Amino acid sequence: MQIDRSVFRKINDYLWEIPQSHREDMRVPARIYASKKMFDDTLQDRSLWQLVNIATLPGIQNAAIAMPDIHEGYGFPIGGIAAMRVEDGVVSPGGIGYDINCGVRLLASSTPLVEMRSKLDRLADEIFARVPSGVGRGGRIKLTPQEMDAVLEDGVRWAIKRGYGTEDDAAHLEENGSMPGTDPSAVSERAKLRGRDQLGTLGSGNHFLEVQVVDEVFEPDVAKAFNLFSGNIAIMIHCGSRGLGHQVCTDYVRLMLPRLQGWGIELPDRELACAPIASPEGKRYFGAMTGAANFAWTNRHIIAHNVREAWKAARGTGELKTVYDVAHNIGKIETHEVGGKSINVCLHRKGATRAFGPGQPDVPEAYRMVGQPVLIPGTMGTASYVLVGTNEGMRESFGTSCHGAGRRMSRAQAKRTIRGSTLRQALEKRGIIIRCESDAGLAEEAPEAYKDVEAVVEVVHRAGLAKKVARLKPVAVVKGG
Amino acid sequence: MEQPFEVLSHTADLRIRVYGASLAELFRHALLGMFQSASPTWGEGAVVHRPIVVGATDRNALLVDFLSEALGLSDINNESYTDIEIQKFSDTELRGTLLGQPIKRFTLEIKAVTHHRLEIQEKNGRWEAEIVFDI
Repeated sequence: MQIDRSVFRKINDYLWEIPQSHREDMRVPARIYASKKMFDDTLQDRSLWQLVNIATLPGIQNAAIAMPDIHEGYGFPIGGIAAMRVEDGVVSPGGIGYDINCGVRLLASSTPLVEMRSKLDRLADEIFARVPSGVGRGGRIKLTPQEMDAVLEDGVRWAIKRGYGTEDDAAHLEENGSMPGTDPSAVSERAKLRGRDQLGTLGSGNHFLEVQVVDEVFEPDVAKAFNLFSGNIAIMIHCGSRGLGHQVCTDYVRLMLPRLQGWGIELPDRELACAPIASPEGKRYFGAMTGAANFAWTNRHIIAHNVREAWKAARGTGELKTVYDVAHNIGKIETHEVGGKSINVCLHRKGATRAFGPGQPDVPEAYRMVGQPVLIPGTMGTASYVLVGTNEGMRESFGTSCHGAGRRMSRAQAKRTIRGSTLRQALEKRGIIIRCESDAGLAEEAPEAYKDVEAVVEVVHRAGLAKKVARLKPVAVVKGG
Repeated sequence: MEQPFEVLSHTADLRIRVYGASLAELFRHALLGMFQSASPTWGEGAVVHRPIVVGATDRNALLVDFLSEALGLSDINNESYTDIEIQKFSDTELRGTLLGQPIKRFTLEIKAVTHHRLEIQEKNGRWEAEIVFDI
């Protein structure tokens, strides 16, 4: 199921296309943003076959698109984007992901690293104590059923009313941390039970919390608008909707699979299970997915609150301002230009980040002149990036950018070839403080297990999908096993 | 004794191949494979007995739904399961009791069981299936 190189047409140095004629069931072409080297690497796994499969889905517009951090998933590849026309297209839970609204929040301080260096160990300890990570540890908030429904509907507004964070935070989040359209009844009791004590928890795997320093600024005016200044501390939080989101996706894949025949939908892969957007099942999934997305924003909001408490305990003074918060596994109803017409689409972003350009009404007022911040988490010991959305990206990729580095090595291989304890020592020798539940977990997330984030971001930058604003380097990493 | 499961390579997720002399044994080994791969740190407390009832349209979907149900119960109750007593089993229904213990944590967070490339097959008198888990 790999695709031969001869099938591809090179559009430019950073864009390749599989024409619609490649396979009879394709409704649109498939496009991949990649450098030549990345393109060669991507031919080795099944991710491009999976991208072609997306191009067969009913209602898909323009092209099935892959970002340079693409890697093989199940159904959709990770790093895949698909826009389905609302009136006759489908919504696919697998095209959004099991970890609904896995995403990133960035906080910025006005404190230079030099002032904080002697307090970093204390800060890392305080964060590790206040933000449960790993699997099996619940948070301090235990939601009643009524509170759960309120979180699903109101997102961070629920938390702000209870003294977590401020309205100013909400004004700097994608969807203001509260996406409209939740149907709490569409979220199963099982999902709600799983999530009831998981607010304020990080999870594990590639989820993390990093204390970072703004290492290099590429666009000073934009960085200033984002409150990012060279040498200052920032804090990045990467996590999602925990068990609640995982259950929502599981529930709706299960619901949709046996109904496909009735809708006249044939799929090359069961994990592409989907429903017509306009069907009762499609609407219920969207209502549940929205609730799970709001749960994830609230989760990161509570974690950010606890990080601020940790900062106060370690430093005593100084503010952590919210830069932005992005989702990279989500479905959104958006209006985009396709073939010269404005069309309402359900935009599936799975391992891909919204990147809206200047002037777009959904960009926070504070950033509307410059464009939306795009937060790209890196790997331990390398770098994370802040980009800004562009209007070229609106035309090229439905206002979408990459989401991270993308894996290139299996976890099993990483554990075999990289010793977690050796990695820990190497990172600590470079001045990076590590708080991690297990060395095996550390090895799985080693930088060598990922594609080069610098190369991924460079493709996005040169292709014009989003522009580099700042590079952030880790100084302390907190993660589960 | 033949191995109940083996871990295969996958770039980002967990992929296992499960074996069984019978379909019921395949399902049992899939349960073991999933939870052993999650690598629990055991907590304190007595053995738990957790009823499980699953119905699906075919055996492939039944396997996914069975493992998903066990995963959900594990997350809600902070438990891991080491065995199942099956009381009723067919291509479309499974009733049984999960046996397990409380846990302090899992090393590996399994987010979900996927349908990706899952096809239960009989080969040389043995049943086998590949299962990909989102982690």
